[in-house]
Amino acid sequence: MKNRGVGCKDVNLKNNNPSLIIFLISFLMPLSSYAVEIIVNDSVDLSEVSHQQIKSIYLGQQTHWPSGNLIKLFKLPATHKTHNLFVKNTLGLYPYQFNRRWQKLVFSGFALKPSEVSNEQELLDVIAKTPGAIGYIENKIIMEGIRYVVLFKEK
Amino acid sequence: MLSYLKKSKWLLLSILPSIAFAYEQKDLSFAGFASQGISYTSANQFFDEEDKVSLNMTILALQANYLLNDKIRFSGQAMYRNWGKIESARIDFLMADYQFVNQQYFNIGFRLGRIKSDLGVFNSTRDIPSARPSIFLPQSVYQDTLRDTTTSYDGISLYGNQVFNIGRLNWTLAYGRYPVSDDLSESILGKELAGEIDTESNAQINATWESASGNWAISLGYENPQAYTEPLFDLGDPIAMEAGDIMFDRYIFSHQYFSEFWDFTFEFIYQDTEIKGFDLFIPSLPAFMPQPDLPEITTNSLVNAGFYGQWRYFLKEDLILMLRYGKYFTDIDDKDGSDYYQNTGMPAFSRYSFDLTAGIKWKLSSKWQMNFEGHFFEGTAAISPTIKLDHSRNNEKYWQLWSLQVSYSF
Repeated sequence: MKNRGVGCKDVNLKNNNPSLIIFLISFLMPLSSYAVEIIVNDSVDLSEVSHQQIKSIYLGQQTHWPSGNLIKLFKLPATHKTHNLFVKNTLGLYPYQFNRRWQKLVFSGFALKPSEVSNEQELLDVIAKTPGAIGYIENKIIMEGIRYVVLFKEK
Repeated sequence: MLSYLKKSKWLLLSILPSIAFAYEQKDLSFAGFASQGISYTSANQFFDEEDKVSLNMTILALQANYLLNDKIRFSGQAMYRNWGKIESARIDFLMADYQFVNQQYFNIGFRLGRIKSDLGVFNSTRDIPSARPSIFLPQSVYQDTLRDTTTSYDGISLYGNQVFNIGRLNWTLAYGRYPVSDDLSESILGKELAGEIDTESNAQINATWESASGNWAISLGYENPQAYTEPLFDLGDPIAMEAGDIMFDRYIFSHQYFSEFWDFTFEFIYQDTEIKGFDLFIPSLPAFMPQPDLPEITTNSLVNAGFYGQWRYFLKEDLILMLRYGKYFTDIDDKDGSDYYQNTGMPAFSRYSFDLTAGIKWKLSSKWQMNFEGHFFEGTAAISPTIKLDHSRNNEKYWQLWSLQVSYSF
C-alpha cells in the first residue's frame, strides 16, 4: 500500500498507544518500486496484474485462472536472489512469512506446493512449455511461449 | 484396535512412496516429514506417565496430492504419532478441493472429506515441526488434552478470499464431525474410567483480515464441538460415573504482527463448556438403596479462558529465538481455584496454568531443523485428564518441561 504522511504519525504518537504505533509503522513500510518481471505461459490470458492479485496467486489463494484453468506455480529456490526480491518487493512479504505460509498450506493440504526449479533459464524453459504456468525472472528475455505481465499498484 | 493401527501405519506410510515410484508423473506429488524428540518433566504427569525423561516423541507424516483434472485436486496425509501418553496412526486429512469461483479479486471453493481445522494460527499445523513456533504449542490456547476435538473433521467446508484496497479477507465456513479416538475419552476421564466416546457434528466459522502491506493480521474463529462419553466401571469400584455429554462453544481471537527481524503473536481463547450427566454413584449399592449425596460435575456454563503472547526474534534467517507467556483458567469465575478448593478439597492450583516458555529453533538446512525449549509452569490445569485429574500424582504447583527435537521434512 501507499505510505501515509509522516504528519499523521506525529499526531497519533501522542496517544501513547503501542498498538496504534505498530499499526502506523505497518503503513510506513516502504515498498520499493523495483520488482522482478512476472512471466506466464502464453496460453494464459493475462497482460497486467496488481500486487494484491499476484499475492493471491502466490499465497495459494487463487488456484485457477479466470478461464478456469489451473494455475501452475513455479518458484526459484529460497536462497536465490531473484526469489527474495520477488517475495520482498512484489509480494511485499518477508521471506520467513512466505516460507511459513507455505509450510502451513502444504501440510494442512490447503494448497499445492509450487514447483521449484534451480535457475532462471530452467524457469523460462519450463514456463514456455507448461500451459497455465506462472513464474518470475530478474531481466526480460524475449522467448517464444513466454508472455510478460505488467505489474501495477492498486490505487 | 491400536495393534491393528500399529500394523497398518507401516502399510499406510510405505504404500505412498511405492505409488510415487510407479507413476513418475506430474499430476501426483508428495511431501512429508519425520521428527524425534526427547523431553524431561520435573514433576507431574503432563507428558509421559512412567518416566520423567521420555523419548515418546515421534511423528511421521506422508502426504500426497493428486490432480484428477484441471479442476479437482485430491490431497491426503497419513500420520503416525507417538506423543507421551498417546500413540496413534490416523488419516490426518483426505479431501477433494474444488475452487469454482476464480476472479482476480475474489475466489470461492469447497473441500469435501476429512479436512484440517483451521481455527487459530497454529491449529492446522499443530503437529508440523516446520510450521509451528515450538515443540509444545501454547497450552493456554492449544490444549493437547482436547486435541481430538480440534484436529480435523469429516465434513464439508466452503472457503474464499476477497481482496480490497486496504487488505484481504479470508474466510471459511465448515460443517463436520470430529472423528475421535478413545484417547480423548482418556484425556477427559482418565485411564481407569475411559470408555466409549462419540461426537456430534459441529459448525465452524473463521475469518482472517490481513493488512494490504501484509504486516499484520487478525482473525476470529468459532466452533461448537460436542462429545458423548460413557465411562467404564466395575461393580467393585468404590465410586463410578454415569454417561455424559460435554459441549463446547469455542471462540479464538488471533493477532499477528510481522517485522523484518521479529514477529509477535497474541491469541485468546474463550471456551464455554457445558457438562451434562456424569453423575457419580456407588456401583455396589443395591438398586433399592438410595445413593448418597455425591458432588456434582454437571454445569451449564463453565467458562475456560486462556491467552498467550509470543515474541520471536530472528537472530539470523535460520536461527530463531522465542519467548512466550500464557495463562489458562479452567473457570474464569474462580481464577485462583479457591472456590474449587473449598468445594472439593482438591488443590486450587489444578484450576489454572501459567506457562513461561523460552525456545530456540535452528534451521540447519531447508530440510533439517532442531528445536530446544524450556517451559516453566505454575499450576496443573494443562494436564489431562480434564474431569478426573489424579491429584495425588500431579501434586506439584511449580514444574518444568524441557524438550529437544530434530525434524526432517521434504
